[in-house]
Amino acid sequence: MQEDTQPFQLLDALFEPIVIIDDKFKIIYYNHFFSTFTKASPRIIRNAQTIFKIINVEEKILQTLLATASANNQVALSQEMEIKLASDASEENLAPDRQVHASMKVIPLSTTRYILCFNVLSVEKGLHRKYREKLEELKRAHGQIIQADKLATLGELSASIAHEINNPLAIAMGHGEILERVLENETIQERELVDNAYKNISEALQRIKTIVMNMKSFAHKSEEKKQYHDLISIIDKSMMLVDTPFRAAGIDLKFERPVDKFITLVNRIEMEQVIVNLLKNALDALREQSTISAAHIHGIVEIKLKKNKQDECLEILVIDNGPGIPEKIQGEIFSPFFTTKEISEGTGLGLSVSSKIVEGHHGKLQLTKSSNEGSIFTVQLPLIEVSSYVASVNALNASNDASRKKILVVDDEEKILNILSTFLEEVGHTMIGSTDPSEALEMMDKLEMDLIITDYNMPRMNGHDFAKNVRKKSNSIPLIYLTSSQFLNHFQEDRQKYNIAGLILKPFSKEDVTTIIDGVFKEAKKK
Amino acid sequence: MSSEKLVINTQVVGNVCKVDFIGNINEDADFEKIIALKMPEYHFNFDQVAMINSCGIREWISLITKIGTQATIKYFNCRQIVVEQINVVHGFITDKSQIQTFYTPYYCDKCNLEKQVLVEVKSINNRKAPAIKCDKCSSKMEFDAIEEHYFSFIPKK
Amino acid sequence: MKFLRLENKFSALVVDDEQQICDMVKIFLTFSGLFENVVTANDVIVAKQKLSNQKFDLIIIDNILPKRGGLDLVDYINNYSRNANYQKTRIILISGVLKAEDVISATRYGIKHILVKPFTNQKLIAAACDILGISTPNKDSEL
Repeated sequence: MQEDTQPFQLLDALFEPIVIIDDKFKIIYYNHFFSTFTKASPRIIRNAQTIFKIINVEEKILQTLLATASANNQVALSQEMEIKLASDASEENLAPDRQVHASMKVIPLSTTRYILCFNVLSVEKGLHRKYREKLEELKRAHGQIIQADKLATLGELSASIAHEINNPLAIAMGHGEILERVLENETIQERELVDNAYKNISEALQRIKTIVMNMKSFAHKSEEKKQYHDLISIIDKSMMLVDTPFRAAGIDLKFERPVDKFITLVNRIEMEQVIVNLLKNALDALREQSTISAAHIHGIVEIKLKKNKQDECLEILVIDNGPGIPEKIQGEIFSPFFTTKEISEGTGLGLSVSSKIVEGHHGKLQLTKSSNEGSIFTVQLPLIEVSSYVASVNALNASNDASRKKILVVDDEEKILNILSTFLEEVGHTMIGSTDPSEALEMMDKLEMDLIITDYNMPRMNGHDFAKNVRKKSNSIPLIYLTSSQFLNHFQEDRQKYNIAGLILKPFSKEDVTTIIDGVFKEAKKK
Repeated sequence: MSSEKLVINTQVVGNVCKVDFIGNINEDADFEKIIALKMPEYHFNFDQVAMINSCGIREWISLITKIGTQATIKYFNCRQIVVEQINVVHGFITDKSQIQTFYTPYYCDKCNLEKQVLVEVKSINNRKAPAIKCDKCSSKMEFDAIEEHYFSFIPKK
Repeated sequence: MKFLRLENKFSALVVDDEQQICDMVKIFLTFSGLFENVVTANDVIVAKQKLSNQKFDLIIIDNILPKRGGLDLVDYINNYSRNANYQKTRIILISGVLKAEDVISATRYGIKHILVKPFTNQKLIAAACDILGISTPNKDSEL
């Protein structure tokens, strides 16, 4: 540089990129930071005829700034803009860091000398954008949470209001009935008025009862979507859904398949959600472990399915050989929003929602073991007969219909159970399902049944032996065989012996089933 | 590419933890797993760092503060962009965290070739760039940055 | 079905913390013509006292007695009946607050009849007759 640039040397100490140009846009001087900022090394700047070879700004913009600055002899400020850093002939592509968000300031030194400095705002702009995005994400998630919470609270509130109302409602309705009975045989002057008054009271109370029933059912919406499913197929599907991430992480996923079917009354999609959640948590724990520890422990996640006779329930166990869950957080893991991950990686709703789902199935989700050798999460579900019985008690109590019967259906195929469940519900009966004749027999002692329909050809106990055992317990309960024509002869043999009231032949239609059942109940009433 | 999340690979050999940084060190950088390792010595390799901004540096300083009192930290293969940030920010280099090797930019006028040369800090004297010859034409290459500025992190002897 | 008029009527104990509910149930039972001696109690302590004084053919209990005493009382009765060599006492559970666990527990205690409030006279008598093994006297019944 020809002129004395010594006074400008103190500009090198400044953080701001500064360049001194003349009115022809030639570079007179630049500070160290200008070189860093423009990613232009000294030789590039040396060879540049104008500043536009270094930064790609519209000449018009810079021209205007210089004009404004010199006209008023004061500082001229530009808008915030995208400034492209000019690239050398050898580099064509515009990498993201070759574009800068900044504003320019022009300070007139003399008629032909201008100081051009830059307020670099790239980072600020980027952060601002990210901040806004995260805020929106948070707001949305927050909204969803509030909504879910509202529904949950509303559900709980409804349930507790319903319960509060039931006692006084029972008292009012009960005494209303008593009033009706007493007045029946009395001679009253204003008979019509009294009868009318009673009728109005009775109807109004009935309406309140319906409202309360609806409120209660709102709290237990998932009852309606339950069907008979084999847990084994639900587990298979869940494993399929997580297959890719497991394989990508090199972690084994095993399932100890039981020999028998494990049919139970569940909402299929919700159960899959629960198992997928547990598998994903196990996967994350094992992935975390493999990046931290130097020793390479081969990660394994195992699923086991058991029948717990003692507690009368089914258990699904998800076992991992991960680092376990620290004792101090064990109590919190089922709380809503508890998470050990980044906001973008998970909302922390997984275990809380899963826990609610399992509770909605009258079961329990628990951490049953945790050590540095691994963790075990257990999903406990009631036996099929029990879940369907609970559903039936609620249904029975909800209806005023005395003709609503409880029908026990014993069949080892879940498809048959689901079909019959639909048919029977449609005609106003409640079905209790069972896949195991010996379980069904045990349940007979505990549950009240109006009718039993049994398949003939079952693996562990056929219809004949089942009928024999049923008759040992009760002579009066009507019994119907459900079978295909190849076992017709058994029906004839057993009909007299065990008093089989009817026969449904597979394949069957809804009319077949309802006609036979109606017939059997009519017969039973006569006796 | 600017949204390329930082990948951190760690390898423990004896008492030393080698850490490779791949991608962008910015506001999203998460150094938790490095802190969790609690090793006495770390070798940080910046060879595959594509970009680093002031937020990334801020996260970095935070990292140094957390592990710097117990651990010895050595920086290797610092790219030009990393050196430039180090020169601007205080706290990157302490008596327990030092740069071992870094890249220096060179240019050959004759061949119109740019080259990044890996040098050791201890080989730099008085903030002067070492003499480098062009691979193609063997003539002296020009140091393609401002010496006083580029080597400012190295104390004058 | 023909209604058999019985010579001996049955006795019952009704346990609910709301006296009005007890009154209502007592009147229902009396109206049916099947029950003669219906005693009421508002808490578990009084209930146990009554149980020690006389035998009952039927016991109707609310499952949410104060401090959830309902099912504990059932347990006590089951054991009491067994120990005292009484015929297994028959129990109906009535409830305004019925959760699934309660249903499951009730079945474990051997209770087959659970009535959710509000219930009709008809439902109560139907359950009572079912337990006592007799046919219902109500001429409107379709059972």
